[in-house]
Amino acid sequence: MEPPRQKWIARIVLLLGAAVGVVWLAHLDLHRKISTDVLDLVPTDERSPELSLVKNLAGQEQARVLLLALRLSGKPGESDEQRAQRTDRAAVLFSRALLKSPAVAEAIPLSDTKPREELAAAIYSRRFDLLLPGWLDEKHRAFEAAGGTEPWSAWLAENAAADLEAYLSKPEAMAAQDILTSDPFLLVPSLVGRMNGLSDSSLVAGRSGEYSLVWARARDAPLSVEGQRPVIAAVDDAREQILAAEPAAEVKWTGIGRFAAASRSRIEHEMSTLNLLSLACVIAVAAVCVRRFYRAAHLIPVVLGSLLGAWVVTAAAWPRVHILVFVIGSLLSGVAVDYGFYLYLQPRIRPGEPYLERASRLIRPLLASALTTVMGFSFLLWSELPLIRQLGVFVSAGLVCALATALLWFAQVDDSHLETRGFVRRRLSGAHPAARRTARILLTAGAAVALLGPWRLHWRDDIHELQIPTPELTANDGQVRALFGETPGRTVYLTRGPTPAGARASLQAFLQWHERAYPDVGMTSLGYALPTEQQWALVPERLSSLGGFERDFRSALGRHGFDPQAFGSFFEAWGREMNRTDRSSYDTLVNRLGTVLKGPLSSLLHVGPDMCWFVTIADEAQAVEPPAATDTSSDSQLQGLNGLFSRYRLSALKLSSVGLCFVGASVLVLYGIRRGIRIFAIPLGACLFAFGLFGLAGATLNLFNLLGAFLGVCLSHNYAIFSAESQARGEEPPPSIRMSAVAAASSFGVLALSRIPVVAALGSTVAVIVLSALAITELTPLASAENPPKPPRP
Amino acid sequence: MGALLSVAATAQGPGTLLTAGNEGEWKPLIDTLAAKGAVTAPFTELRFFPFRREPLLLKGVLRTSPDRGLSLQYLDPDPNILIADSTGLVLRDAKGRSRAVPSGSRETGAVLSLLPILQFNMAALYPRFVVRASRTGEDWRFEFTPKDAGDAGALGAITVGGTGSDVHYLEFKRSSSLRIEIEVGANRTGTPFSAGDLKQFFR
Repeated sequence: MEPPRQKWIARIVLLLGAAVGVVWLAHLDLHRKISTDVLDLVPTDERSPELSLVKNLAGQEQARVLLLALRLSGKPGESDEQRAQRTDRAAVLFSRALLKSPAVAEAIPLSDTKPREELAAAIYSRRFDLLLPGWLDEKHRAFEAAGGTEPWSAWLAENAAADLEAYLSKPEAMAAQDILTSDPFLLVPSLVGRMNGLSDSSLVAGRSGEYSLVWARARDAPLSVEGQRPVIAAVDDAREQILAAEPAAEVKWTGIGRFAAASRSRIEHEMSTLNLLSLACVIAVAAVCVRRFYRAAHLIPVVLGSLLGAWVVTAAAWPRVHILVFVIGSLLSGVAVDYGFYLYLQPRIRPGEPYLERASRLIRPLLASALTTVMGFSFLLWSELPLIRQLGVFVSAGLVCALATALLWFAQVDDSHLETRGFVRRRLSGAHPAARRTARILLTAGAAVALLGPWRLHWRDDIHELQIPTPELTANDGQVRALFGETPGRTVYLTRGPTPAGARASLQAFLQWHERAYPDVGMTSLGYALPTEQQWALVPERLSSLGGFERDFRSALGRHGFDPQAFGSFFEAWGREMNRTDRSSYDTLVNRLGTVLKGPLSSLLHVGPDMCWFVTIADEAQAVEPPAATDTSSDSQLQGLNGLFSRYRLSALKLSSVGLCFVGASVLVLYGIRRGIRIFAIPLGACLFAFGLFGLAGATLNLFNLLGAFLGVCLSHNYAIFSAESQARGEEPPPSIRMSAVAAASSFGVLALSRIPVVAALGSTVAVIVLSALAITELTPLASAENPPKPPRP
Repeated sequence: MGALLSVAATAQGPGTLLTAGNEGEWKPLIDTLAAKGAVTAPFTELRFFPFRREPLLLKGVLRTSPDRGLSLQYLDPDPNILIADSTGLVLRDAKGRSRAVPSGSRETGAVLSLLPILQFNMAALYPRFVVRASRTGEDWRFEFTPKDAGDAGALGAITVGGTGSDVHYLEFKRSSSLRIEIEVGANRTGTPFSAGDLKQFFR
């Protein structure tokens, strides 16, 4: 019987703690607090340009794009053309239906040529601003390279007239004939030739096979709840309206929000399932291993107290916490229950021994294991990755709360001892030579695996592994994007800069690099329609050196068989340009072009306050990443972020190594050099064995295997401490070590079943390390047992 | 060139208006022209621009395949190939680099119209063109005027002339100063294209 005062104090503290925690959590807006945005897993001030670009892209209009394709069944006697026209009309109605939803900001059937015509008209009417500076710069370089004695003006006039004559023999000349008299420098036709990538895609036709295409933009960002469900509902409503008129209509669509919504719902489901399964595993282990298993229910408050404390502290420490922290946090069930096992299963040394006396015998190993683990995980607070920092706090807070809850809970129950079943306490004897030999062989084989296997490991990180794969959505996305002209043989590059001038200068460097790396590959970029800032600044100087150009050009046109009188509109515009004094700033020049871009064309250029970028489409399946100096990333580079996450892995490796050194040093201080080394050898050996096993199996590991290893080492370090404490007292290792290890392994084994690749990686790593540590703890005494003395001869 | 101008001069007048199912005496000729297999012929093209004093002269080889469409291989002054088929237009430069242009763009209009015209696919032509036919002795002439005002402005009238079962000239005429005349040389028929030719000259 425990003293009533002790019991009441423990109960009041527990109730108060639980009430404060529950009330605090209840007042939170969990939808805002818990994020499913994968980009919240990486730092807001990340210095990696790729990630800054991805984060910027995710928040911009480009990420809100919805691609939709509509197909109607043919009617009897209807020609293909009639059917295509009917589908185009349905696409117009579909676009209007989409626009009825407040969630959709813009919807344009691609058969609508207005956005393209507006861009073409804007470029044509401002061709002297947009295209002349680059043309003059290019010609001046050629003039200097030629090194002739002819004056610059006469050379330019002759060269331009020759180019015009040569152009007329090209197939596209007939289509451009109407503008040649006003654009004899071929500024616009040359740009058209460089924008092939757009005309190759379905953006021009507005159709792809039997599908009519619709481009739309959601009002809200796709990674927010507002940018997901309302958008999906808008598409569903529009589809219903089309189906009412055309019952056999088929609508395919894709958008980032669709992936994000699916990911959110799957992760939420995963979280509840994993937490419940993990808890069930722990209870099941307890139920199998103890007598009167219903008394194992006393372990539940320990787990709940741990999780509550972890949630409260983590939610209080960050304004937004990623849901993955809570998914991985479900592992706490398997760790937190340890302290319950150690306290609850500790046998009394005499009948009626009070709880405080029994707990005081355990407090040293309990504090040693808990606090060293907490301190080790606290090192993760220095990680660059918010996810790792949040996990460090979640686990540390959870462990402290688990220990406190366990100490308080068992202080307020009368019978705080739970007896294990016989098989849990049973141990193999080292007296038999076969048992000793087997244990030695197993340990030697394990050592070989630990020493040889890790060298065969491969590492790779991919941001996609942080989410549950959705193969059906990915396949649909591929189909829809193919209809919109996004084919595997093309690569999309994004060139960034802090200002329009910076982005355009980087684009120039990238285009020059690309022409050298892929000389025969076509590229499309709206950057061709903009001069660099330097070219723009040089225009007045270049024009002032062309005072006699009109006379020279008239003569050159005549020499090349043209009628100079027919070019009156050009000479009129040229005269105005020569006398012009009001030139806008470079930023205004770019912004004015940006405002003309509507619908799908708006994705070609982004001008923002902090970042600008140009999109380039290259007709090659990209093999070489552009140099860093070009500030350009390919879409595959941005989608995987492998390089960035590899850097995070190295950072996490350094931090966990420091943490482990600290844990090891703490053990050496607490237990002395000799015992400390023996204690720390168990978790280290288990960790190396696990990595060796993965290496021999040919597994590719990632950042989360590393984090799992850190957690596994901290857990198995507990077993080593409790085992050493028992050994020092001349006792056998307590049964709580076995139960704790099996509970942890089963709860982490559940995580290994997760469909989120990184969660599965973490779970499998911890489970293997924990079981390996248990095996080392069990086999070492067997292998080191001495031969029993031979019986004396009669 | 003289022969070309002579044929053009004698073909003045409205001719016979042809409509679907009302081709009368022209039916056998149309069927013969439509049934021709692979054709290879040299051609000379004159491009007239209002801003040039003289037309531009281009030379090349024309190929038509019932299955693969039309190929215009320009040899002079700049070598390149134009391919028109059921999925659109392909421009192939001297280095063999191809650029596809989907149907529907203005750039493709004239060449894509050539495909059904040279195949005499009247079912495809009647919905888009007013078709008139006339004959002078052995020489015949078809004139295709776009029904759509936009097409008429962009393409102008298209004229195809020939003798017997051979096409000898083509004209795209937006105005007297803006037109293309193509004189087609001796037609070589009955020899199917080799795999290498198909790869080089068609999509």
